[in-house]
Amino acid sequence: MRTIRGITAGIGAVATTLALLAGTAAAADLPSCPPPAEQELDANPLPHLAASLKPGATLNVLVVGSATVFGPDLPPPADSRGKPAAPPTPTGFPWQMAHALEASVHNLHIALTVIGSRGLSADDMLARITAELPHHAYRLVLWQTGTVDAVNDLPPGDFYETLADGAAEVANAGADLVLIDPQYSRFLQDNADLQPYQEALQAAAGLPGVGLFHRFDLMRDWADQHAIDLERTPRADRPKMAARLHACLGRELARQLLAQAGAALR
Amino acid sequence: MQLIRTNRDLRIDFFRGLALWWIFTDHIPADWLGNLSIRNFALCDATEVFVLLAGYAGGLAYGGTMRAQGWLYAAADVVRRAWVLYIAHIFLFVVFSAQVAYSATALDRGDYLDEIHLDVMGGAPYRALLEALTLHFQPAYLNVLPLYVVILLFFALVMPLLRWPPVLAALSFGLYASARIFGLNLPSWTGGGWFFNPFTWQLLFMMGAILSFAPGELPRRRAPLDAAAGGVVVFGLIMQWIVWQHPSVIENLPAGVVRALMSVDKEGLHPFRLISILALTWLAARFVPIHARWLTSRLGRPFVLAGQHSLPVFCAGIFLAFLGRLATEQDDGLLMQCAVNVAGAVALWCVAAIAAWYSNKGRSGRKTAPSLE
Repeated sequence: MRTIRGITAGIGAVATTLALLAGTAAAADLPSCPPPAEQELDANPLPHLAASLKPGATLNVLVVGSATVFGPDLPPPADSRGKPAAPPTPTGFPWQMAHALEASVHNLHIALTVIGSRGLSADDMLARITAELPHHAYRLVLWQTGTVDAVNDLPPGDFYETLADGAAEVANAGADLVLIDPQYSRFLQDNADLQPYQEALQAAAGLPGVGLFHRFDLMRDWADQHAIDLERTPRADRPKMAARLHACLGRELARQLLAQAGAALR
Repeated sequence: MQLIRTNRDLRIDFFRGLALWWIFTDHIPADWLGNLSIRNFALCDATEVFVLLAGYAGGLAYGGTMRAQGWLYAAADVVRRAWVLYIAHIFLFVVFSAQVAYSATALDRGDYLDEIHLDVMGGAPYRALLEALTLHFQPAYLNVLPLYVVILLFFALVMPLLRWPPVLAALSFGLYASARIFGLNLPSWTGGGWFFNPFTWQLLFMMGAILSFAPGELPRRRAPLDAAAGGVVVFGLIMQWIVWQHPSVIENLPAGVVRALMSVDKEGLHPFRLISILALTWLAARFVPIHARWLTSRLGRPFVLAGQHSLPVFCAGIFLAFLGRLATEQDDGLLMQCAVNVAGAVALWCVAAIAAWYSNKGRSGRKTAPSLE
């Protein structure tokens, strides 16, 4: 299994300073984002998150997903062999979220672990979550899933069971779970039977300590407003647009997590 | 030269052609015309229309052969047709995989491979070829022909039962019901079974075959059936336009109802979808006269022609739809939408016209039993 400890994963003052610098740098050249979405995190109370988003605290965050959690400049390999060279500052939305959280809560330290790879079903990811949870005292798990299951037409009932099992494991490990639904694509909307998987994610978000970040709706709104629309961006502009998408997704996710914990994004 | 064969029920050809056109527009993500296709108004979509009418055409063509020359002869024809469809599927698989993979590389769009489900081919190309040949591996959009092949093989076996429609109907429905209850499906390489479960979808084909082989008189009291069919259509409209569009409606329904409404699956031909296509069939049979003028009008003729040559039109439609997707991704304006849809429709018509010209050319030289196109 491939594990990338984010740049903020180090311990000690140096790492924290670096992280803060990176956060500031990211904020400085942050592309403009559409106004904050009207949606909020679909969640029951997330007590571990609320307790950890405090000044001076360290929040261990585990992010698991398929291709999109790694962002545009960190392409996940098709298999688990070989460690890719991580760029100095990954721009994927999990890192952007970490920067935004750290910029909003004084002295907050996010230790980010991002795992997964392209083409993983929810079941594959659950195995990786199970294996990773004991390694650190995680307080928040972000689980991006649904696309692979929908495209492969895996049984939606099993998908829900997997999510529910994952929620139980994460709760046992003393963390909250925030699910992230598929990335918006016109293909998924028009040609894949996404509805049952969205329903399963929605149902799982009704479990205690579980939330759902509606990435699909958010990205569809941005596409409808012609604000951020990766599918309709010419190839030459796509890296820039992808970076912007991840920056804005990360920022919006951070905003919704903070709002859930009763704080505001700065 | 007369391209359209008129010695048959043109309604069937027309609706097949319409379904093929819908399949084309539905397969271009965010095509504006995709908002006008049947999937927006009913609980079923073009696939149901296509399979039912394939059964209808099959019952007509092979049923006739069976009457004249016996089961063995007719069954051999059906198997030969299944073989032709299989070859067409493999050819389309190669063309479409190459098209998508090349586009993904050239345009730097790895997500094409994930969406069309060709990503597994990159991981295990040799295995993927084998699994494609055995129909265990079906990329997105390439699930209809494998279904058709398997249904035809089943049809070759059970076609003598066309003489006893209630027996065939009971057998077919029994298979449908047990597949739904016990979750039977053919296995797929990537898990989850076939996208179109042949054990359930065969019911629609067999219904079509029975309708054409043993067309009963319409019942004398038609008003109650008209009302029931109308009710099903209205129910579909409510579902499509109100319930599934507005989450607030769903939130106010009892949980059991929501679960039932959300579990309408395409894979297993959910009863809602089945009832929806049957209601539409009833209404079409009731209210579209067999010699309706518009079938041979300037607007109707292209659809009739396409419906008479469904295999090449279907295959071309899959290829063209992906080209259309590439084009609309370059520019999604009004002009491009018009260009893609007009060019696509003209290209499909050309494919049908060439197929018609070629088969008429062959037909004029020899006298053979009508074959299913």
